[in-house]
Amino acid sequence: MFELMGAEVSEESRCHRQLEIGADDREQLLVSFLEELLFIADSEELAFDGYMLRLVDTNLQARLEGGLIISRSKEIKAVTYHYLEIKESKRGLKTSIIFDV
Amino acid sequence: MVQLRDLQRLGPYEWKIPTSVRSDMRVPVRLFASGEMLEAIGRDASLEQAVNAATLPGVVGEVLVMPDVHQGYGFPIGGVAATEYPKGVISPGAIGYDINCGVRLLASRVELEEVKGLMDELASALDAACPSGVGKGGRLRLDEHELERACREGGEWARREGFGTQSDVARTEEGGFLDGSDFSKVSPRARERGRPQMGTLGAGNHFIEVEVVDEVFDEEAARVMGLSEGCLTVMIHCGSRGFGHQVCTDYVRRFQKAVQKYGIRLPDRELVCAPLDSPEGQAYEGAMRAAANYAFANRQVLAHLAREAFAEALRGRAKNVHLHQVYDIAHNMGKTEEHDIGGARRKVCVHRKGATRAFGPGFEGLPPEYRPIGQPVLVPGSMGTASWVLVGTEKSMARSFGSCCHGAGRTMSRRQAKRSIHGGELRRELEERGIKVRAGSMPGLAEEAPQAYKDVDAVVEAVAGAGIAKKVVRLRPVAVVKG
Repeated sequence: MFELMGAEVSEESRCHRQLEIGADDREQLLVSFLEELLFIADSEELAFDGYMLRLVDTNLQARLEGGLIISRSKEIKAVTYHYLEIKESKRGLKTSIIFDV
Repeated sequence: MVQLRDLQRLGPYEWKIPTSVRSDMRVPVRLFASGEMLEAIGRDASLEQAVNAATLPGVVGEVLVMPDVHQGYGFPIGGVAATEYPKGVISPGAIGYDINCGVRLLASRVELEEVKGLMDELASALDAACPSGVGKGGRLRLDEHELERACREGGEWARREGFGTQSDVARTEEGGFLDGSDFSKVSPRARERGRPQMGTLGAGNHFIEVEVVDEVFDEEAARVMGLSEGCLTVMIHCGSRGFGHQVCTDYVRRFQKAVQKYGIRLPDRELVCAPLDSPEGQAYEGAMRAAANYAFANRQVLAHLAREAFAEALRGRAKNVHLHQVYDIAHNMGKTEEHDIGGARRKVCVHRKGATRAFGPGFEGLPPEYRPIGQPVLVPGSMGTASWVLVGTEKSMARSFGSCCHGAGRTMSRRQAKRSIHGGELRRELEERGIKVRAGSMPGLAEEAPQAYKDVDAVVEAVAGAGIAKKVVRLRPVAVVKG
């Protein structure tokens, strides 16, 4: 999502965040997680490039590392459920998700 | 999957998808388009999405599809669906994330010929005066109380703060505010996103454009609107910014549970909805109206800033540098209206997503000077191409819930456009054609290239041909400021 946004992150002002999110199903959990990141990006101008994720059923614990956004080229308005799909693959979970831009 | 062969031809500009096409359809779909436009429309999933919209509980009449339709999220952009009060549903996805995204047109008596050499200066002045770009805040920083007032009073709040005139507010759809907004139903997150963004354009396809009246089709309507051939106008396209995006996000999430609670089965999760008379439906309606009022206020502030910049840039170089407001119109909105449906007058919530209201002559909600001619309909083209001013007709009231198209409509995704068009080259091409460009980013400019959109003239031919709008003037761009 941050790549799509074209977010350039400062290397000088590194920061960490911890998030805990629960949802009724996996799709909702993914959307809620990305919505959380989008809100942080818009309200605090922070983007993340390091992720430690622990998924138990439909609960997620995330430790995030990132920094202040220096610039971004695209506005993402929202994370949508449209044609949202999460699949198991050999390398883990794979998703296709659509953002409103 | 809905196919083009499922369309039944009703006339040169009207097509129907009957309920027999899919068993879960509650009403048919009516598409306004010429035969030549069908192939492009059939290339994406927009007709499938219109059929999905026809399954919404309480949907009445027909789901309408405008010729500028393209694939949206859940609901097609260019779609209209009316659901009946009180048991029909309201769906945030059928209104859109950018609640009350819309267009405002200001017009002047300044002739392009008088000031032709000043378009660069004018573009720079507008760019400097109107904050734009990704996530950018403006000069206003609203506290909680002011934000609440803006969300309750809309354009009138902005006018009282010194932005604009009474005439601006009167010449705005619904007088610049929707009654029944409920700020208490707006989340703290939406409030936080909304506070710094009042009076800002944003990014994406939002723009401020200087246009010249290129051709007049209806002399009388143009005269009433103060539009004269050869004179400059300013068009502003933007919406409710992060405030509206967050309101929609909050309620799409909240309605995931509501559909389970009310036993609503849907073909796409993005269409989640709740009955209009349910606590969830009422809460969204109140919050959506607050966001709509935020957008009216936002365009009012921007119009004021643009008006000042226009006057400043051209003062002493042209006789009358005042910009008067022609109209302001929403194209992502849910409105409570009454319509004749199946021989009876029925109260409905008309969801218009990428579609405008287009009420015909005689409608009392119009400013008195516009009642004889009908409601102005503003149709921006793609960047560098024409825009149009139309008026609603009696036919639009009977055939399309008083609705019309909202623009050109994409044919190419943003990603495709960025891959095949170079922003810098596009800028040069536009400048060679005499169109001055100010853009936040070159890739962003490429995404909005005219090649990525349908021909707006063909879109307008289709709605005029179908009789749901009448042409008034065609506008040609001379300067573009892109977020």
